[in-house]
Amino acid sequence: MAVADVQLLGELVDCADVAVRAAGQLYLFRCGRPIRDKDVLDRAVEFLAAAEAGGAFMSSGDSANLHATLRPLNWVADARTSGKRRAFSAQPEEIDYEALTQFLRRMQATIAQVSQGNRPDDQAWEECIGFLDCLGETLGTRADQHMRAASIPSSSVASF
Amino acid sequence: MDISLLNRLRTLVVFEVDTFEKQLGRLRSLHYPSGAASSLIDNLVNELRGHRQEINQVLADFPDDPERAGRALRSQHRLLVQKLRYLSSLEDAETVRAPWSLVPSIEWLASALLPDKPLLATCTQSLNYGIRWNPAPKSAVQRFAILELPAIHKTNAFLHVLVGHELFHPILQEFLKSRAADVISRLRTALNPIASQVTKDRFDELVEQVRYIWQRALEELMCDMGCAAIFGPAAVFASAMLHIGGNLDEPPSLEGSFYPPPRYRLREVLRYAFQAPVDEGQQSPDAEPDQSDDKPLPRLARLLSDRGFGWARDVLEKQFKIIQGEVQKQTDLEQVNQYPWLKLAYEEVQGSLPQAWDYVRDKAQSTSTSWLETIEDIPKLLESIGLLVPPGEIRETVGEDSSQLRTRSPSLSAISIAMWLYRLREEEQDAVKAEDNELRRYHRLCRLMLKAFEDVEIRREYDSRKKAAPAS
Repeated sequence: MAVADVQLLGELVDCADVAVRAAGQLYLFRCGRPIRDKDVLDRAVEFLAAAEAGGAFMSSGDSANLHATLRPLNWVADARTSGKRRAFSAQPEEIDYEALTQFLRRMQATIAQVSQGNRPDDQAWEECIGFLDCLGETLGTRADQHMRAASIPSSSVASF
Repeated sequence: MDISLLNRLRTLVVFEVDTFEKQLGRLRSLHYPSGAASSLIDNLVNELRGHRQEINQVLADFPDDPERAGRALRSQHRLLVQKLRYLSSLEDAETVRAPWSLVPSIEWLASALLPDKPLLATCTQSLNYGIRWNPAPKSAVQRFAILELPAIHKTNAFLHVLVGHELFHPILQEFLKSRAADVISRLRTALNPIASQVTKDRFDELVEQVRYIWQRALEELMCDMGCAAIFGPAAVFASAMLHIGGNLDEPPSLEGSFYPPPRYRLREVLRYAFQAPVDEGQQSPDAEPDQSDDKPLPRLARLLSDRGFGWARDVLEKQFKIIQGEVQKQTDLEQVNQYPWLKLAYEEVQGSLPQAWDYVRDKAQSTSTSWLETIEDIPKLLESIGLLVPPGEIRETVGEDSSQLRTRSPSLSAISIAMWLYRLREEEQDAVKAEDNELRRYHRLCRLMLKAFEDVEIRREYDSRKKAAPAS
């Protein structure tokens, strides 16, 4: 595995973990438990802000807040489009980047509300937990695929 | 998730933590050439305690949130599996596996270039030099950089110059980030008209992919230039030795981690780090070497000539002419230009290179690791090598009194350049000789080089202890 691939895998695993733990914190707070890991909520907002900047750039060309990569946007868009890679689909999925940007703003606002100890309305809560669950599952599954090596026959001199 | 399956998953993850801890206990008993390994082990042990706490917390949360308990445990499992590489790295860092006499020199160079990153030097069974690091570390373990050298070339000291390339990787982020937004912006505009022809991916993925090709190419080129800024001609000779084992025109590809073609890499290093003519028509094969100004190569050539090492000047000029001849071929560019998105990425690379060179050159200069700072040492070391003495010490007179001698350590770059020049002369002489004889001579020079590096570090350690000791 090349150095760059290892690094990408590390990012995938970390981002998946942040999404999984943030969803857990939101759900438990909704059940009346205190926020135990505020840091993970801040990291989730940071990641979504990077994705939002990417979405704003793709929809309008505005690069003011753009980070060094569009990867957060790619991953969020994957999670929003059913979480499946397009390897087997015939057509690329169309993304409404403007709508995605609005959605990401809402998600950040909901997490920020919880982080400050406030309770969002039920719909916002459902939407945000559902999205973070999906994001964690999408990125986690992709990381799993990278971490496993398939059993395949190795080539041998005799086969030539 | 059903509670019985959750318990089974818990057993799986706890088993992994437990085995990880035992493995670390075993690895702690091994011998390493420096303290980096035991420091990494201590930090890993601490992190495993954190994993145990997280697992316990997930189980405590289970009654309130059974649905997410399985996901949280799976995430812990992933984080643990990802850390398994540290176990194999620690195995590979053991004294019997790593080039132990070189490790202190590598760590010294790393401390100059990467002062905030502890480094673990390892030897792996893959044919590549590599480094793993976390650009945004969130724990003590993630601060470590893991350097990988090819085990099969453990004693091939001439290639280890390429460590300089690897140590530049972690310090490029600032530069890459500062340019990325503008590059992405231009790529979005340029890719728009051709997006439908070239891909069925989403447009954001296409832009990101081409940005990534730009980044990967620039990273490798900057590391090549950084290595040349530190090790001068030795960096070019070592790169060429490694590159000629493959296709010099190998195009950037996903399978190949988007490495730029080796011919392209050599060309840009010559162009920037040596200001050498690399484009067709800039230099005819029979042209006299450029002696007209203070460019790095003519400067070294003049120095060698003035100090009585005309043969070394001839070797230097001949070898660079050979490599210049290779890079004047445009076959790699034909590969790059055949795909419109690749062409766009490499146009951006070309636009970034002047500032990229300034950036890495300044890094080398600000850390006092530039080869040009100790260029005067090279002829002195050639004298030692000619006598088959390890070039790890320079003797010079104090002031006007020729009977008063003092000694000092040469730089790693001066040792490497002098050794390479000597080796290349032997290579020319050995070309018609028997293979076993040639290899024996090559090994002898490798030993001289490794011994010289070791002497430099022993002296550095001695000086530092002497400085720290109270005056008696």
